[in-house]
Amino acid sequence: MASADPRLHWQRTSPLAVVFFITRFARQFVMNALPAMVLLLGLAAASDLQWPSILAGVLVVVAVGVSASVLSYLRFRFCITDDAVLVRSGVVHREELIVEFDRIQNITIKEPFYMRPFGLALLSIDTAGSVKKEITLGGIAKPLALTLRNTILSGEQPLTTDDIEEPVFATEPTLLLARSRRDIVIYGLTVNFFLWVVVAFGAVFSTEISQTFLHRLASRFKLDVLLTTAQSDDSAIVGMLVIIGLTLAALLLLPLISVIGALLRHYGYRLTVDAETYRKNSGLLSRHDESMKRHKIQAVVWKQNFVARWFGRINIQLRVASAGSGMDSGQLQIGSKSTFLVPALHPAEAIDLTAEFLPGCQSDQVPFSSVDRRRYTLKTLGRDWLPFILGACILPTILVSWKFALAVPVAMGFAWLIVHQCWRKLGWGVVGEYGFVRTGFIGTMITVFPLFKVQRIDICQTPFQHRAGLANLTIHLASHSLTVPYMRMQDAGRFRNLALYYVESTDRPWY
Amino acid sequence: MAFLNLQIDTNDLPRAADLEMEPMAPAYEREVLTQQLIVWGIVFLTSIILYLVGDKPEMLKHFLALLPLAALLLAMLIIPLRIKQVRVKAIALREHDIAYRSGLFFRKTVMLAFNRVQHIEVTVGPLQRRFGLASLKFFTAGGSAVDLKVDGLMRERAEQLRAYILDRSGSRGER
Repeated sequence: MASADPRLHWQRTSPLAVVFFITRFARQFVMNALPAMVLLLGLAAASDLQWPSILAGVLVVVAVGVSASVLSYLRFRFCITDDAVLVRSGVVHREELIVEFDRIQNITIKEPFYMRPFGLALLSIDTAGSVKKEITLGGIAKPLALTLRNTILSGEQPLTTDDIEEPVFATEPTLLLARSRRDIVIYGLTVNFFLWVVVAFGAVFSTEISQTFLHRLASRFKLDVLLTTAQSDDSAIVGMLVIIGLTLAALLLLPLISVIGALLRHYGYRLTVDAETYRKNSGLLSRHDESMKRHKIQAVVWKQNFVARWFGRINIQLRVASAGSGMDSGQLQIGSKSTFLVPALHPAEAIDLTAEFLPGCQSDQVPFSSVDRRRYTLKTLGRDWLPFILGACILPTILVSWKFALAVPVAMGFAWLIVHQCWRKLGWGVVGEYGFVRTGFIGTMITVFPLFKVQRIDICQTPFQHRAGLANLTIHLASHSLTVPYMRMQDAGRFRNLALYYVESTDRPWY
Repeated sequence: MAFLNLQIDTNDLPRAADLEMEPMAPAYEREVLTQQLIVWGIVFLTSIILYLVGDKPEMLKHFLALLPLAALLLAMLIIPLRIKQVRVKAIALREHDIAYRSGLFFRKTVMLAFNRVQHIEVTVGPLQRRFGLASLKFFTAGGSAVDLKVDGLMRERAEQLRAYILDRSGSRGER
């Protein structure tokens, strides 16, 4: 086995890495054991157990966590060879991982706030094999992290020493994009569409919910003034305004949290390019330095929800090969975590940067073709909406009043509006050697991908589609899959022929 | 590398839709039939045992008497459909890719270029061994566990296909 070679120079991370292992343990604990813990605590509280014994239990968990983290740190070793990173880890279950440089998708150097004063960093290596098998070297000197990154990305001389002073850059990196504080705030507001749904929903239902809530709050804290304000007939309007105001203020905390999160993560965002390697640098307390090679990009995704549309901004994600890439044959796709973000772009910037990421891609000149409107609408309404609406209306109709049956046509009318809007957004196109797929409802998501990077193409037809000369086209990329439903069969066939032509006529590596 | 962007006439491209599909081995039909007979035989026997064994109320007994009949009817419905499904399955090999057609009602054609194949697996189940059959599994990047599974190939044919495709999949064959 290669790892048994005595010439290999196994290294240890800094003792501060213990903090990294503790945070990782805490995160895993919260994710896996928290529900059980809450249940246990509830049981303990219900029984006649005293607080000191509960506290002792908590202390035991903390002690186990800290000692497990210290052991993990002690057992963790890494080694860099000519063409691979080797890692030995695990306390009970020992594991040795070998990741070849050419399998590495992207590299992130993080400087958490507790490591920054000591000049230490975390180096995360994402492989094409699996999201779970991401390697993190926690607590290595920053210059070593930078040099390691350069070595891995350039595939040049191996590292034999760990006391490297300054990283060596082949050329001066070119600045592609810098984001101001304002841009990052806008990104924070536009990143999560669901957040705005909650705000809108909350605003609509605020009156009733807040009235009940305020009642409880007021009676609990004996806020008689507030209670009388809210109840008295004379000042009903004032009371209502107070309630709505308070609820809205509470709801607006959500976007605020999102903005703070965005600022913490993306403050001082800078995107540079050095030869074929992109680097993004950002973060307020903890600095993140992420690198990716151009040829690893499988697709560029433009995302613009309705808030982003209002601001006239587009968020771009670069997708690289994700989990279950065939190297480990038993694995399922875990998700498209492997993304590289370019936030809050003006349309012109988005077009220019897309052309930078995918050379020759003219994303401003896409003639999107739509799919068959009648059949797409009929199928989506009939298969997805009708059962749902009927299901929701049938019980009240039988149990309460026949009048609920009237809600069905009204709801179907609304559903038709939604489906029609989705149909308007749904489109596909080809410009040069790039494919485009657009989806959306109020917002828009456009995926751009080099046709030669397509992994597999499926064409599927139901008997009805067959009769109507239509088909569903599914394009499988190494990062994710895209489906264009209800295309004309002729178009689906042409798209497939063209993609296969690009795939088969080139030797360019897709990975 | 100089960037080229030549215009391509999509009408002149090789057309995957015009392929002559090659049906699966005749032994595959026999294998599926045997497999179905075994499954439905078990269901039928279980329903008879349920009827015969133990004391039951009269109502339940009548109901259980219907079960073997229902199993027979279902088998008579499903077995021909499974056979039809087998007859739909077909593959076609081109110089650079493979096409696989399947699905009785939802007709699906998968096209996979050889230079996107990461590795190939040949698997032989106990029943397949009896009929000299094998399955061919293709793995590509990013997709689910198996990207394309072709059942109903004669064992030698499967091995031959694997060798042929790996030969054309470039340096990234089976590792």
